[in-house]
Amino acid sequence: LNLETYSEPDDLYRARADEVNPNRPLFTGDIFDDVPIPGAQEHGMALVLAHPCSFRIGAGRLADRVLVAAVREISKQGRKAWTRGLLDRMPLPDLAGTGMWAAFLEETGRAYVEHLLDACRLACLSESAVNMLQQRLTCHLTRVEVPTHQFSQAFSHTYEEADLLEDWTDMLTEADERLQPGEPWLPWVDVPHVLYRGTIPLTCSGAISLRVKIGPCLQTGNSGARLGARHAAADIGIAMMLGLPGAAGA
Amino acid sequence: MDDALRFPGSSTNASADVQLGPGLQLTKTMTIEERARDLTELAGSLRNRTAITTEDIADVHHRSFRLQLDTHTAELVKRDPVQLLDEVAGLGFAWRDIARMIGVSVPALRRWRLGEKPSGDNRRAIARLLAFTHIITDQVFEPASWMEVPITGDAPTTAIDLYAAGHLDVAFDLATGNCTPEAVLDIVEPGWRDQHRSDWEVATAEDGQPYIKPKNVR
Repeated sequence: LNLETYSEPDDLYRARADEVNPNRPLFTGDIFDDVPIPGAQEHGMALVLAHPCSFRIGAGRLADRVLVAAVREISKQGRKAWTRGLLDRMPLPDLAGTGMWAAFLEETGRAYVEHLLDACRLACLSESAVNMLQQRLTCHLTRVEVPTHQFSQAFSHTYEEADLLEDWTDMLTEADERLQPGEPWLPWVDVPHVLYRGTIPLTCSGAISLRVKIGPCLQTGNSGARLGARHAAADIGIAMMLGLPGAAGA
Repeated sequence: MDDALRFPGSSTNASADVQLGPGLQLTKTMTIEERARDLTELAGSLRNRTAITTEDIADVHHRSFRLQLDTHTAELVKRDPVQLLDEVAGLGFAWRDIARMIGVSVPALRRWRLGEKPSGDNRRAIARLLAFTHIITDQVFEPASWMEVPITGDAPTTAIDLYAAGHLDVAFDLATGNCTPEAVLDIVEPGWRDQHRSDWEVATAEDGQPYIKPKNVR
């Protein structure tokens, strides 16, 4: 066995603590502070194990329950210890301050999404860490070692989707903040799985679907489609700021 | 054979001067083996000189590239860093890739976009990334798209990886066609063939989603 490990703890995290963007959609590798896991724990930290496709059930909505693993503080382990052993765990060094934590891949269960939404998101794993998580989970369950770069290849469209949704929501919440009281805004229709809880005027004429806009990018992952999604969000934001008819509705 | 030394088995007229002492020189007829050895040495010498010349030219090319990069960076760094970031993003890069190439976190980029000021070093890093894309624009169509594609089908390494690891010269060589992808990988990832060898591949399932399967299995 020669499983992937990390060079520095920071490599494993896209964001921690107050750096976590509430506009980022729920994603594999997100870690929450206090989530009951049926059959595993009543309280404690939990890491989302499930593939995004399994908990998004269409039109941006989330499934009622999501597969998660319990996370606990453990004794210190060197980074090389994870290449050949500790297969039942995902290393999470310096997750919540200095120290060593791990997600226990045997202590899993289907947590209720409402509990995730009520909890505080402590961290989002980086792309390389999600690949590591997939590799460790696969190896632990099946004794098959798949290179992380192949998980990356198979997962790339989901990273892209999450990034675009975050980007899109950032742009539109920014535009929303510029609206004056009494100005029309549109209801949030497509991304309830984003953990932002405020009002977001998200559609133009109520007909624009994020999926439609970012769909080509999800298929190809190319920069041109990424730009298309950004421009679409910008256009809606501008329309909202100018109070154009297409942006009004609710 | 009054002025030449001939050796048994010699079948050529090739000869070489043999200095016996002051004012005394004999011409020696060379054997095929000796001639071949001399030619090999000559060819080796020429190749070494060519290699040294090639290295020298590459060095000059890299120095001129760095000068161009530094000069352009110095111009760009005078501008608003958020505007520069937007221009980089406007090329189509993902924020996570921009963050890697600048050497900061994605949340740091977000904070800058929301108004926090980047440090001087980071401001320069943003300008340098934009300058790099401007320089290679003459060589590659849509730099962002080119940089996120693996440089060869045999490894997942991209030009973004090269840039993020600080191999700007190598990324430039690749963009300008002065280095093959394999040679690039030999430089930056010795042992890459073994490292990236895999019995698995990614395919598309009936539902249109990618999945991982063993190679050569239908």
